[in-house]
Amino acid sequence: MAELFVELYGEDFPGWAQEKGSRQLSDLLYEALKKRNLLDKRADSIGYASPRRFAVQVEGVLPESKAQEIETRGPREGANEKALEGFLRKAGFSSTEDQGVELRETPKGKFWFATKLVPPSSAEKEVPEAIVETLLATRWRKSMRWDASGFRWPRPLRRYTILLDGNPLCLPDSERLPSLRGGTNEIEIGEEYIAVSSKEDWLKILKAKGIEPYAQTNKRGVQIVTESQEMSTPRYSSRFHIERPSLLVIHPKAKNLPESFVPVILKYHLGVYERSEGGYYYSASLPYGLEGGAESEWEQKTIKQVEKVAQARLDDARFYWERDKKIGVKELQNRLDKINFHPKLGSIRMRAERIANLAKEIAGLLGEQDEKELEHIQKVTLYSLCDLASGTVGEIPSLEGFVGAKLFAEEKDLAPYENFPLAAHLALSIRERKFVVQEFSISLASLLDYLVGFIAAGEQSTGSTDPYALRSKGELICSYLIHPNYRLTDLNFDELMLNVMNIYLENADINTKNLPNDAPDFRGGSRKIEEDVINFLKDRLERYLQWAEKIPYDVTRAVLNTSGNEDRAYFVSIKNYAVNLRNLLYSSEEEERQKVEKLLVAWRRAQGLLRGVELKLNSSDKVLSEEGEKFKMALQNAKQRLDAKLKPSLRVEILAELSEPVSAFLDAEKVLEGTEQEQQARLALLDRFIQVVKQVADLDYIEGGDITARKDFAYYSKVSNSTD
Amino acid sequence: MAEVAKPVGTFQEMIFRLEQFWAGHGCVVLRGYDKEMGAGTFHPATALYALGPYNPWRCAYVQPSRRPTDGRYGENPHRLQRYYQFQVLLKPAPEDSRELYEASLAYLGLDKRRHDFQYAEDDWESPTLGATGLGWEVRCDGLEITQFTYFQKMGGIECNPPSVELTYGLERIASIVQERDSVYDLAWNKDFTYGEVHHQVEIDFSKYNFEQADLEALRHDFDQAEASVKQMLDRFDSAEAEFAEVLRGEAVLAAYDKCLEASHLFNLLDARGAISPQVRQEMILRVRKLVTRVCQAWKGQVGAQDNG
Repeated sequence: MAELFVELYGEDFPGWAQEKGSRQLSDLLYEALKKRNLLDKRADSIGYASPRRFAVQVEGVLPESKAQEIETRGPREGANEKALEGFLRKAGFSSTEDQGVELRETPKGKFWFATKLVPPSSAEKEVPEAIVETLLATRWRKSMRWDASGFRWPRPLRRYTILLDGNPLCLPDSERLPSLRGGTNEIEIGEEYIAVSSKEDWLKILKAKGIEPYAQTNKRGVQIVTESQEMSTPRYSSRFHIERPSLLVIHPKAKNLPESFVPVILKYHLGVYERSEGGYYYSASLPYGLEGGAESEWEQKTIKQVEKVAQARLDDARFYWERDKKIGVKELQNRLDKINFHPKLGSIRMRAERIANLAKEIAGLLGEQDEKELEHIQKVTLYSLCDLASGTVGEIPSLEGFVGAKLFAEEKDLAPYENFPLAAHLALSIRERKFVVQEFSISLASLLDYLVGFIAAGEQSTGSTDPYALRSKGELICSYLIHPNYRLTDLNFDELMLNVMNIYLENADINTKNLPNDAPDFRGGSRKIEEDVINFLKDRLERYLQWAEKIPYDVTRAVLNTSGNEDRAYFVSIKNYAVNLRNLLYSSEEEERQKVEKLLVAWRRAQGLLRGVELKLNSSDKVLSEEGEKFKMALQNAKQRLDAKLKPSLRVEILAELSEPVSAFLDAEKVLEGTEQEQQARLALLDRFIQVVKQVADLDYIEGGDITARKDFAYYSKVSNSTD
Repeated sequence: MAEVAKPVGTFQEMIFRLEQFWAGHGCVVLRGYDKEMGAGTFHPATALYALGPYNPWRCAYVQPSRRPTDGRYGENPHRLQRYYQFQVLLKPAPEDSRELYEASLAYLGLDKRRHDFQYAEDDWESPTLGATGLGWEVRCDGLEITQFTYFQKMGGIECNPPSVELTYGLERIASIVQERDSVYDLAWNKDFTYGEVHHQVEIDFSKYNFEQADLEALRHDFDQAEASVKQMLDRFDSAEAEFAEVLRGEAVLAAYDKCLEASHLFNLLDARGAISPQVRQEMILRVRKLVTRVCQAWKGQVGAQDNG
């Protein structure tokens, strides 16, 4: 078996394309080879990326594909001739007389079948074809053309290197691909061409040159790079933008500019990160060819230069800030009336008023009781939104919220708000910082107003279209509500939504004033809107937990959809249930695994037995066997403990404990045999079992089959962070 | 990498060298267009010739560019309301676009091996031109020195084949090559500095743009410019069927000039803070509509000659 290594080299690929690109190239190439019967059972692939290159390694490539018969079913006997001709042509035949074409009887009638024998073919021939297929199948959220081929990629692709066990292969000519250099065993780094023999060799060469590619998780679910901590560091981030990042520290000085503006301006213009020790990290691109000792000299010179650029940016911001101060808050607020938020939802001014009222409510729900403080929250929100009409925000959009808050603080002489970096209407990620009730309230108010408004206006995302990015807004809300730092265990989401809707109702005159006739009627349809928003958010929660917490969506769905459990109105609680249920279902401990399998089998059997059966009230359980009695006792015990408001982790454990008694009961008893009374007693017990389990999760939502056979089992089973 | 030349000593010498370099690579070296415009992209040799009639087409020129809102009364060392862009259009985009660009910098004496040199993702868009492109802003030591774009659309029409557009920020490159902290200290030639030639321009026009420009007159002129483009295009459209051969060319290019006037008037109104964000958007759309019509007329006229 051979190792296939492919490198695709191009002009700087955007950071967003690299992670997704490495994954899709790895997956697509794997599938293209598999389709050609070129992979061994244990074959695996892994993708890599850096700003200038994508690479895929496939282990377990067979020297030649196995011969195979490909059978396709065609039209029914008697179908029109064109359909038959088309089918034959597509299957590679010209007539029904050809060998391999036959009319065959099936339970649904007679159909044409074509069986094509695909002879074995060498990997040397098939691999380049598979790579062409892979390149043509890639999809990107944004792509471009750069030559007449019409081929689209995030940025131009210029050369390739394909090595099959170290031997270079060439791509076949294709009109649909751009002109590419390649076909040798060399890769391009800086201004050099360097021979490479394998993936290991490639990684070694890159490392020697100071390049650290991003490595994707491979098919078997092994996380090659576990960077949960490293991911938030500037070094990790900068390597998506620069092949040889060198982290420098700059210290620009801000004169006559609010302190809170400085990191925002510098991040916006120079992509720098603020350092806790002072100064900013700047990711510079280390040139190739610097010789020993020259680096430090280069760094000092670069720091000086970049500081000058940063200084000029800060001076520029000061120019606008001083103009805005002259204009004043009142005039800026007046200008907001003229900015349309959405034709059906009114102006930004109207939105500001809604957010301000809602923020006050949320802060109250979060425990803020000081009426003066609540009023400040309301006012600062209203004032801060005026900066949408300011020159500073026009020039540096990232300062949205900061400028208004500062103007507010200066005008009202409220020093504590001076550095009040409002995430408010921008829905900036505030997760990086510790929880502050004011920030949180305004940010959540802004997001909820946005979401509720657009859903009410009929702009809900559908299929692949999400023009107002409602999905990401929804996931942001979920992330706020479950963030561990916030400890929002007491924030009842249903109650919160009720308040949101009340705000809309109380502001009905704001919402309807000067709006077209087709504007949403919050008064008449508020309940429907509330339901739509909650359902939308629950759907986003499933997705969010899947990518952020590595919880399969069916697990979240199982804990979400349990009626009558009050704790499911708390997003934190839903997440905790989901984490613990995933840990149970995907446990890698053999003993646990057996329990899970027994529980799921029992659940499905019980549901099957209960289907269509009418349970009689007052059925006597005195006729139960010994196993039945044991099962009954186990259920009673479980029920008592579940009613005792235990932590989610303990409640999930109770499910696991039920697996033994329910299995033993089902093994020992033939449920639908014996007298009707006996049958009813057993069925009633199973029904109780279902209801008890549903206090934790509705296992109907767990996708069928053996969980260990799931392709993502290894991936999820490696995550085992328990949480309450 | 191409051999790095001795750093170019003056601003004007830098322009000569770039012209020489790109002339050597098949570019028609033009002069800047004699209309006020915000960027070199608006020059018809780029905006319209990206669509046709010629393929291949390569051109290079210095375009004085005006962005009233960027005026800083001559106080910011890197920000000017009137500055020079060196513009290159290469159609079709050559396979070695990037190498060529880097060679042109080496020809000016800018050695990328001595600097922090980065290609930062930047998807370019000109809302008034209805143009889009994907590419990078090229940064040297944190300072944006060039916009490097693969044109995808112009006037809403797909560019086929795509061109590469290089927009050099001449003052910024010169400040790196000449190692000066302020554009005003750049040597224009051996006797004069950039400041001596242009500093007063920045002060006077910042005053005019931000404080003095007559708003009523600007609005009137904008409406006039817009009306006259519409009139000319309507005339063009109605005459096209009958007198197409006679009117083609002259009318489209003249109409395009009016678009440029409208666009500049809009920039002035914007700098005076005379338009709300909502109206701003509406005016951008009005200009874009005109440019789109001009581009469609241009494409209709020259399309047959274009091999692309």
